[in-house]
Amino acid sequence: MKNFKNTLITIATVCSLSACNNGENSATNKNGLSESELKTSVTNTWFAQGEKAITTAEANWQNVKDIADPKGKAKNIILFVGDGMGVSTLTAARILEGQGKGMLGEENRLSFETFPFSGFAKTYNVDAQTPDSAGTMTAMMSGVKTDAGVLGVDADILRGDCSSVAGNEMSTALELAEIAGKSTGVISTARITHATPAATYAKSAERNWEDVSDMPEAAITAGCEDIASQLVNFEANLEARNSGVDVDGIEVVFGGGRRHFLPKDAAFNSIDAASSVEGDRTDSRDLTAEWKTAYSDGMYIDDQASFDAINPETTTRVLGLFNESHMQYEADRANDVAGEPSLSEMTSKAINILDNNEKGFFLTVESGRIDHAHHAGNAYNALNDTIEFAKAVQTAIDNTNPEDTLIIVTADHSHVFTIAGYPKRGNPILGKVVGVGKSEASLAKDGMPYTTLGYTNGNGYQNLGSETNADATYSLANGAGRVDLTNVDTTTPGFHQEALVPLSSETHAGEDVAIFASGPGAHLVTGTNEQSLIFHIMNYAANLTASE
Amino acid sequence: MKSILTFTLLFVVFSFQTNAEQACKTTKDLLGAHYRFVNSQVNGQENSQATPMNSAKLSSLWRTQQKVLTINGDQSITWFKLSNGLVKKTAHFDNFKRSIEYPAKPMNDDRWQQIRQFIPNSQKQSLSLVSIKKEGCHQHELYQWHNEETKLQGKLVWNADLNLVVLLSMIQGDQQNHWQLENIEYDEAIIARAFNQRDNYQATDFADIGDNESDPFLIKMINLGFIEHGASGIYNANGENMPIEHNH
Repeated sequence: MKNFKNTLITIATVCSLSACNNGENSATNKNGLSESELKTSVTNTWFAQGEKAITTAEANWQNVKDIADPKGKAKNIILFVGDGMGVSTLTAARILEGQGKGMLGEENRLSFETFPFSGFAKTYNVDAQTPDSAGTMTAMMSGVKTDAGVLGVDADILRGDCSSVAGNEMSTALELAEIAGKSTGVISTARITHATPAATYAKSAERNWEDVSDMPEAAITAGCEDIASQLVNFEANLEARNSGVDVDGIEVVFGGGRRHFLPKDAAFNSIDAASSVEGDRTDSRDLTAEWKTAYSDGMYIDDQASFDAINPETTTRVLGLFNESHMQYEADRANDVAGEPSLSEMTSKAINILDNNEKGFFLTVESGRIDHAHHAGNAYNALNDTIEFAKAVQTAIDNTNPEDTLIIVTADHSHVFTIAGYPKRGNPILGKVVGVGKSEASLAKDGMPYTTLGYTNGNGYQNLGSETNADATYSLANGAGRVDLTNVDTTTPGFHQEALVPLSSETHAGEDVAIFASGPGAHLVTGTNEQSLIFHIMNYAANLTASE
Repeated sequence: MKSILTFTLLFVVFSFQTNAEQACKTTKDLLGAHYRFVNSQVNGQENSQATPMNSAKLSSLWRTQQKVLTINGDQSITWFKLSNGLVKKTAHFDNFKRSIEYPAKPMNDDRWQQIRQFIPNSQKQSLSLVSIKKEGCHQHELYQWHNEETKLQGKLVWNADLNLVVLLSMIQGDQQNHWQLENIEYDEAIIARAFNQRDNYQATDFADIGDNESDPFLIKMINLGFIEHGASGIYNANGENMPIEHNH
């Protein structure tokens, strides 16, 4: 090793004395080619694209350098989280979106894939190699990795033990933004009390304590508060935890999960209740009424029409709970009884409400059902929800100023979702593998065709045709293993990909996820990082903890 | 394929309440029906299940206008027809006081009738009617059939006023399955209690199971295979789902 180091030093010294690589060598000692001398066609599209990318990267870095003191330059922060949106999901969604636009597909880029900076996040939880959303979102929102299944508390917690919460609570970026006087918002297509959105505002020893009926009596007696109640009491709780702090509460909440806000009484049912008694709360509390009482300036809405009626320029506060449980998959949204807004519609409306605050805003947007479609082994819905997620990001780009808004796009974890070999370029991403130069589907050793997309585990194959609800598979027998797909249209909404290991539900995966960023502080997203770094980037960019 | 082998004027002696006055006051969309199920071998030992009304293993069918509850031992299923016509299934596990909710799905009339009354009208109409008799204020229809190919013979006594199976008996080889109505519950409070008790269980969306496989209950149920399959609500003595439409 010592000899190797000496050699490097010698070479470096010789080069510095003889002007190595300074472009002034004679023709006989040529050690470099000019671009015009390259055997490569410099007008080749790939080559030109690469050169252009370098120019763009240089400009991006110059922009960073031009900011004298980048800390705190982000007035607004938007954190987009695609739940379960691993790298293979990004690739497949990019291709599907491209093919929908008439392209071959592979060359397409999702909206956020054009962001100037990107990196990777390691997603493991403190106690789990393959993580869950509660632990991962807590890491992103609080800057500290924690255990699976817990929200807003560090790893000293004992999951499910209410008494272990006290003293282990952590501050979140959303809370810090509130304290800093910014407007705040939380959006999810899952229940708003589900793990990912809940990690922005709740402290809980158990992610499943979404309402009081989900909690053991001992936890209630010990004084632990269910997650829905924590959302409605967010302002009071934050002020109680931080003496001297005066905040005005979360301005925009859009998502599903009415069941956790309503009493267990059919009289409180909404028009599109999916149960005979929509509310789950056994303490007779109507949290929507409590919220309306607390915020007389606020609007409570539960359907598309009332959503559309909101004037974002005059609305100061809104609570929108559009489904009894999770909101619909984007492909299934038209089937909702009362109508639900899309993720991009919610994002646009939220930004236009939140940006009325001169101090800026903090907004978290989760596409929660990418994860659920994968759990159901249904790539169609996972990819279509990812495409809608990309559309929501584009909406944010279009409605904000890149000079004062940091946008981070990432996932909480991945899924065991794979893209197989070797389909030819432009092969339908939801289709069967057709090899390069071929027109017929490739056959496996068992003589049967196979799809490009597949799952390592899960409920496996189902052919449900035009069914746009991925969860429909759950009332059917497990179909894991090989199936003869010769006469099956695998591109339909109701096709569920084959799975190797039979499980009731497909699982998360443990590999890294991508992070994309634009705006002030985005340059800090680079390399492979602990997922908790995301909090620190947001904190740095907006100076959330600066008021010492 | 279905032919009648025998004709009998004598109906099976029922042990359920026959108070005509009480029965006549009720509607077919608000009742609870308790069944005795007997699975036996013709030349073997009889295996009887669930007779007493208060037994945890009592098999029963409860229905209101929009909901149906089938109870078999410590497992039960609620079906709820939404205003948009979709039907939502919720599986209950009484020993754990837990429920699993499945996504609402479209359901054709035949399937909905099968859930509500065990036998859809279309299937019943394909059977040969042997006789009609008045029992109290209700009309009972007797159907019998025999399938030479499958060697399956069956008998159905049908309460046409309540759309309710009174007796369903199927014999194939030395196997005999026999459902017999034992009692009809008309008390609205008792019917409501059967539904409400299960409504109060802690419920988990199936969509959330992938995020909750550390839940001991869900792990147990998944391993036992109880939360993957749809079921008609009609079970044999072993708790196995009985697809009666395939047996006729």
